[in-house]
Amino acid sequence: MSKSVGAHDITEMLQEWRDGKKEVLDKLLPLVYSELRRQAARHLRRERKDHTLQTTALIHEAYLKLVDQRNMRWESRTHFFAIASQAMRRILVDYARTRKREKRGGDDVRLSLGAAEALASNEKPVDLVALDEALTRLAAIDEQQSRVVELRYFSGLSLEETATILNISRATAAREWSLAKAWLHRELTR
Amino acid sequence: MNPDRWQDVKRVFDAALKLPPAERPGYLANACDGDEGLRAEVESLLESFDGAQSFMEQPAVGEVADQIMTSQIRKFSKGQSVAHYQVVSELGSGGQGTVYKALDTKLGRTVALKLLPPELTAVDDTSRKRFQREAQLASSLDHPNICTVHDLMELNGAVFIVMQFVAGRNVRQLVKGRPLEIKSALKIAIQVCDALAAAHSKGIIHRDIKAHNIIVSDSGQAKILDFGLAKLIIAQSDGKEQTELTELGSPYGTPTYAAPEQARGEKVDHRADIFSTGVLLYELVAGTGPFQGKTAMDARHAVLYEEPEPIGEKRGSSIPPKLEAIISRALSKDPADRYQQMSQMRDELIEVLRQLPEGRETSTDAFLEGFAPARLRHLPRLNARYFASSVAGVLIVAAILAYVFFLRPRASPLTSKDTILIADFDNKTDDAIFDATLKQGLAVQLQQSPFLNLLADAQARQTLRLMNRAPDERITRDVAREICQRQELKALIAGSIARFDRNYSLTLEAINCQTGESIALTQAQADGKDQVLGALSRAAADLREKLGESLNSIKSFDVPIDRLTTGSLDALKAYSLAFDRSNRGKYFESVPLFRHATELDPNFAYAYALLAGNYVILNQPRHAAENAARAFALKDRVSEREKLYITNYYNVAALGELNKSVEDLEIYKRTYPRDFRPPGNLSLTYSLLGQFDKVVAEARESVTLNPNISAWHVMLGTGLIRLNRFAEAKEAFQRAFDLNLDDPRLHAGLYQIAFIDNDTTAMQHQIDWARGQPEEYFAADWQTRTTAGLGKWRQSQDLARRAIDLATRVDVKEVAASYAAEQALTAAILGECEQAKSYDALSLALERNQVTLARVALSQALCRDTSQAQSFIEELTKQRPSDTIVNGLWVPIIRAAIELAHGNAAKAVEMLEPTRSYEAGAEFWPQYVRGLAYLKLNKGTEAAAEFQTILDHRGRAPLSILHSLAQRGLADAAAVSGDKAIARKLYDNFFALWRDADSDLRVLQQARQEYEKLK
Repeated sequence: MSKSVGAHDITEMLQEWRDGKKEVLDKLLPLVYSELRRQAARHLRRERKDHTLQTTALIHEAYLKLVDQRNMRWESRTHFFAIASQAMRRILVDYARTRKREKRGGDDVRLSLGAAEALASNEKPVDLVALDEALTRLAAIDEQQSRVVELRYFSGLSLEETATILNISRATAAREWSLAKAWLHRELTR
Repeated sequence: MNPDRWQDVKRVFDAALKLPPAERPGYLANACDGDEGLRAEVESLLESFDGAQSFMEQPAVGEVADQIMTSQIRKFSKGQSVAHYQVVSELGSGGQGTVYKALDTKLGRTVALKLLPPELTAVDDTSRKRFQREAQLASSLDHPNICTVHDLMELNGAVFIVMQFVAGRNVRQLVKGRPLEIKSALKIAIQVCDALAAAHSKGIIHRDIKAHNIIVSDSGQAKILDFGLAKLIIAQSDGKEQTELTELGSPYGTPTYAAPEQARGEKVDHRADIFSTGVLLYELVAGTGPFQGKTAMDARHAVLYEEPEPIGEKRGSSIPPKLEAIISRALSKDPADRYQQMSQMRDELIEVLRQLPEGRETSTDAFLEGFAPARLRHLPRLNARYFASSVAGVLIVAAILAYVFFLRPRASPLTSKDTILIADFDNKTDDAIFDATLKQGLAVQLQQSPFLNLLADAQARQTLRLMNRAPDERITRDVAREICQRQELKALIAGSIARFDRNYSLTLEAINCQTGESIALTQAQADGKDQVLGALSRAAADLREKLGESLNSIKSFDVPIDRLTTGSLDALKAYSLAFDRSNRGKYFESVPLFRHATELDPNFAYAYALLAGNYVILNQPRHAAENAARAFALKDRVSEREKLYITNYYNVAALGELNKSVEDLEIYKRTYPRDFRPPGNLSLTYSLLGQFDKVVAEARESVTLNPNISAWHVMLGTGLIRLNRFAEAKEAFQRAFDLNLDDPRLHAGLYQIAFIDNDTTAMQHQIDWARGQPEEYFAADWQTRTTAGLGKWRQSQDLARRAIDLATRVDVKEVAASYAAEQALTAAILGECEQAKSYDALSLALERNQVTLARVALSQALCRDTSQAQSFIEELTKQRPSDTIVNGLWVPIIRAAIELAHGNAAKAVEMLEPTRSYEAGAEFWPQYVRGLAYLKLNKGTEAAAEFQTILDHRGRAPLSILHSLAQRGLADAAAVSGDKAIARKLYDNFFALWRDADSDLRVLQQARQEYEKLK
């Protein structure tokens, strides 16, 4: 985060964005992105099991750092999550892209226990780069579904949380999630 | 796809998904109504959905985390820099990791790095923490036969242990299938047993004792490696059995060494280590282990069901039957049949070693080959001296331990410390309870570390003044950074707390003050308000780890805050307030708050200790002793530093063992050289011992380290008064006032100086200060004593009643009782024994602590009621059997007074001899009684010397009546010596001093009679 931008500015930007000033997002997203990436780099290495919790913690942390909560209305938190989930998507996809490049460089890695177990239980690793591209295509068809995926998959939020943030019912969120999964899965296995 | 079309897909897909698969085709045919494109699209999506069950169900971060894991470092290469370690060479590798020799470039020492395989470290944080704690705990035993773990580090996902580098071979390499000399085997086994006995006494079990884990240095010193690692393996394996016989760790221990109960996966205790040590010993003596097997299964079967081959047969030569019995007992299948304590086994092995014939040191076995010649010679000589003579086993243990000590490496030097500043917490919740408590809690948590020195809050506030800011301004992150730069500190820690519904999120970040860069960041979540302190504690521990604190430097790394201080936010809040009030000298506010904190959390050890400290200050020794004892009973719950603090109050207040207090505080001071508490408390102990030059030196050190504790300013100023350095004392008191501190004893000191200066205005000034304060009784007491000192006895009695009444009213009964006892002493020395008796009775009715008992006893002895005095001596010594001052000072004075009453003046002088080392702090009583005794013996010169001592050291007890009476004593001494003119002059002085005295006072009348005789 650049030094000239303080929590106050970010709070203000979030509110402007909420009030409909969409161009603010272009300024806001990079800030959230750089903060999250900084946190993620630190946390992911320590991370072991509960990825869901960890992702949420990351976003909470970024939120705490970036947002002046005293001057912020409660609903704005949901906007922050919306932005943060987009940022998380970028971070994770970038990371996966880098790893892919490194692997092509002939990095000889042994399988970790975790990866071996995943293989044994037929859980194929997800190609995040391909998924990202597919998700962009999905957004062109159905914006809301792509947001559900961002919140659920990239930010690790529950269906309830996702529904609250998008201001839709839980049932709707569940339906959107099922179809998005089916659609994306098909895209990736094609 | 156009949006309308997509809506159709959505609708049909949702509806179909809700149906059982068998009904879907029928539904689709119906719903699509001939739109084959739609039908095909939905069918394909449904098919995809069915195959996508686990797809995206794990959040994306998991994919990345897995990738990071697979890329974890598995090798270091020669010359590689890892943190501040430079890899020199690979020493060896096994299932539990690869060990490298490396150079610690910071400290310039050689270390060993053990890079753990990722499988082993892929455990949850709790297991890792436990491993870390165990490794650190074992390391903290500082046992010569336990390899010291310096640190556990994590770098780019690689976890490695930094440990002491031991040049040598492990037992497997040493034995190489060939039996060792019995003596060599015993020497190794004894060291292993001794180390394990020490570990077991701390509740640490190794769980994986085996030939690979024991390194024997070239000098013959054995070192046990990998304490705690076994637990990590257990955590990692999660119950997966290993089938191959490898060196890889298994939750069931290494197959050929693990005890039967361990092999069965049962809960093990320290007796599992005893079994494994038996296996090791067997291997040392026989060349190979007792239980063999091609596979882990075979080996475990042997451990569980088979008896080992008789060791003599395997070795090919006979061994001492006693040794065979020891091995056999250690290898019992049932833990109940083994040695129950490692120390037992060790002692029996020592006995076997002792009984071995001498002179077989020129062996060629692998162990002795490596022995450095000097040590080789040294050891047998030591043995010969002790072993040849048939001294008791205890001495033998001492000899072995002396040997071990002799070989012991020096402790690694301490590195320099960095001072850090904690900013005020950014409280993003609406709850004010977090405002001060979190900072306080974090400070306490971080203070565990001797390597992290915290800038005292008050020092930070002083810097604020230099910055033209209000001293009570919030120290935000930015303000903190500026303070930090001005003070040239290394880092600051900024914390924040926020609330998400009922969850709290705590963030701690360490920031480089110069660059503003983040050095370390940690976060913890609390599930509810009552979990916040626990989260803080975890975050603080994590932060210390991230800040690179070495495992070896902290003795109590993982004492969580609920044990360190308290788990109760409310108790911590009361404590924080109390702490602040106490530091500022407001004891009448701090005492109830400390008490409240202990009511909220009855296990709040530190609060009891500080309460004890407050009671010491308020002259309530019984309360002090009780609270010190409570704190002491809880001391196993707290950090090393708090333990030292608590132990000192126990020594001082509960036991009165002042010499022990000095010893312990010196250790505390060496361990935490930048902590203001040890010098402060040393000054207190020295003041009780009457060593006032040391009081001044220590107190000065304490106020330099932290100028914001009124108690140590008081100690400094009072120490200076005791040394007759009144002007400096005034300056010291003034400094405290300048720092916004106020303490009744500052006023007491100023009153004493004013009295000595005969400055009635200044005296009145202090009396006015006390008016209306809860400490008003202080002023009444000062006046009681000064009027008595001028012979105005009636007025003094009125004032004494008032002082006693005021003290009783604010519920300091112990003080009231001490005033009555002091007044009894005054009455007795004035010869007013009837009044002395009634004051004695009053005092005893209020309290029977050491202060009152000692004074009451002395007053009765002076009034010749010697049997009463004797019985009080008994009560006193029974109550305080090891109290330095009671036994070294008061009891001899009372006994001397008893002898004097019996007419044995010479005996009295003799009795007083032992008090000399403490008498500077005894308010003139030993000198005065000795002076009286010399007068009885007609030794005028000697008597005069005693009285002159009193007059020359007025600052030791400025308000004491003995100062006036010493003037008369001096006159008496001159009379005894026959110096009539001088005596008359001295009596005149005394009469002038007592010009306003009650004329009917016995002391005065007697003096006049003496004076008449001189005419």
